[in-house]
Amino acid sequence: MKNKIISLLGGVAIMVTSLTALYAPQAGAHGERSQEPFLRMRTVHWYDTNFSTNRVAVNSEMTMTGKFLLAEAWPEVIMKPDVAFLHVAEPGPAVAKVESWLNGVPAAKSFKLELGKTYEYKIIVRGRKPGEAHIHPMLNVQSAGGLVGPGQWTLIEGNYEDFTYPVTTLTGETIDLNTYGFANVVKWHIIWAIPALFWLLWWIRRPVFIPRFLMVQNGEEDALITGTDKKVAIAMFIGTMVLVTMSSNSAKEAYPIQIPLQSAIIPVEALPVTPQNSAVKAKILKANYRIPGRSMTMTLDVTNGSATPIKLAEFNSANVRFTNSLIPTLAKTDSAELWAKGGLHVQGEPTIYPGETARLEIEASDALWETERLSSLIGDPDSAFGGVLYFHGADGKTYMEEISGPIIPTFQ
Amino acid sequence: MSATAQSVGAKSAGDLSPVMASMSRKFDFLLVPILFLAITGAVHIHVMLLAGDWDFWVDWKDRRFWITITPIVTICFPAAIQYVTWVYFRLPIGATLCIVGLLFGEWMNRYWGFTIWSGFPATLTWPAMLIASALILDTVLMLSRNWLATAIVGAPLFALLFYAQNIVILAPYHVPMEHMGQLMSIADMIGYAFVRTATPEYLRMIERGTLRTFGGESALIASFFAAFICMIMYAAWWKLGEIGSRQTWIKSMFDKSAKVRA
Ligand SMILES: [Cu+2]
Repeated sequence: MKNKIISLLGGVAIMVTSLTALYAPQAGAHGERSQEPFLRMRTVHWYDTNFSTNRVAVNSEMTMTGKFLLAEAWPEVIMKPDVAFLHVAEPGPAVAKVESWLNGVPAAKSFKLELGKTYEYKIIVRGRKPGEAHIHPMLNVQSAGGLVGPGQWTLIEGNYEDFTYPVTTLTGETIDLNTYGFANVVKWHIIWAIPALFWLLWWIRRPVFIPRFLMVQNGEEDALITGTDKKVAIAMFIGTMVLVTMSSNSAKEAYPIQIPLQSAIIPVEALPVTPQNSAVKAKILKANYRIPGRSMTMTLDVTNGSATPIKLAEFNSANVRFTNSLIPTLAKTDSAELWAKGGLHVQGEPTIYPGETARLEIEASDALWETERLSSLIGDPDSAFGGVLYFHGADGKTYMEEISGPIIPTFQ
Repeated sequence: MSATAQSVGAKSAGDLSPVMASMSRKFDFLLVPILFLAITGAVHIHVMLLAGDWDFWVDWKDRRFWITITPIVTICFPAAIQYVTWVYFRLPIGATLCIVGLLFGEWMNRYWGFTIWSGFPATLTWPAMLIASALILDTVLMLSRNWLATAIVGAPLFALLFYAQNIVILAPYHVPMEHMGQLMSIADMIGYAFVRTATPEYLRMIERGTLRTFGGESALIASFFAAFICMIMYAAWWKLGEIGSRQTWIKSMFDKSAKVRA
């Protein structure tokens, strides 16, 4: 009876475990929501994100472009982006990276970046593993981890086996990065497996445990190693040394030109300061998060230092876009999942004229606060929020200003 | 004639009756695969935890940390298992058994986990070769019949041969190429192209520190440093093997169960 119960419980456990395996891909993405809200709201503000397509064939390319602002309200608990790497967030190498650039500097190495500055990136990827993949641009920052940008479900079509990644070396050879060198790896693992298995079988072919143990206990251990054993051991010792020497010499001859692994941290100059990223100033007077309404309200003074009248069009925090009627549609490749359409309300929708300071009462409400797990920011010890306001100018340009400050929850 | 080895005269403790001899052989065939899998599991987890990324990725296999860390980490179990196989059974196969188990586990993990499940190209994720090191450790123990001599001669050779036996596998990956106007080795490029979301470039612990001032000799210096530490590791884990295999453990277990029954 007891055994039956145990096996029943075991069966249930196995079923539950296998079900979670099925469930995991459906939960989708790669845990971008599990990151603490302060990491997403007060670090990298991504904007102008664009994917050249959302369907890419194996071996053909897709380009991700966009910009990001590094928050001045960067949390003190993580290191500043003195060591940062422009990267792609995806489930395994569904697409392979071909090129990546940050402000025109190649992004194969890590960067030293500055807070409060804006950067422009371009990442070219190549379709590799067919299927649907959620792909994001990402900035990895040492001690902070991966800070992911807006993602796009991308359909990769074709045959996995057709994937190639040709490159040319400085010695003039054209190679396929996807398979290069691996046949040689397997060859040498097989070559070395032969003496290893021979050595094990040499001993295991004779009775192994009980008689040997009894003989050792009886003080007969010297009889357990024969003269032939010694000869074989000497041969193995010498043969191993010879094979190591010969193989490494042959490799040095076959590949006379070799370089060590390359790694460095390089500085990148930020995008220049323009009216669009500096002319509008905002000062938060008060911010509340109403938990039952899943809405955030804030009161702030906005000073328009630009030469054109502006209107608030968007509040963006942690890649969630709260927009009003000024942004009626999204670009085709924009991610609609994180769009709170009509989620932004500005009291009176005022136009702010050049040189003028206006007091705005803003409400950003949507279920995305909950589904994106941003509302858990009230559990943070510093209870602060961050984001970016985007204003539409009468000149057709967009003006941005980073905001951040303490936030007080209301519970009813 | 004993069942195992050369003649030791008329009465050897290894002489079993035909029935017992056949039983004992069946016991061998039962125990060898179980032991192999148990050792595979233990050594593999130990190496994954302590040398992890250096062994996982081709663009982490550098001239400093990889060469230093891998032998130091991989000599532990061979030393402990050698104690058991040598002292109790006079079998000089402890190191080879551990390393073959390790490589078997690694290839299973790399193939099913990295290649099939995660989709990484195998050329990025192959495990380092260690068999030459293991064979030397076993043959030195057998020929010297002395663990201290093995610690002083065998353990340094274990470390020194590590890089040497991998040169033939690694060399093609260190051919230079140019990409986006930057100099990269093919290994760097493979690491760059096949995105590891959780492993950004700066996480790579390669060629850091003052050893770089030794220029091209850093592989040799790292090997000698590893050789020195391996002597200590070998001695320490040989002792751990001794402590772990003390018959008092088993004896006290039997005693306890006897008490329970009584
Ligand atoms: Cu995603």
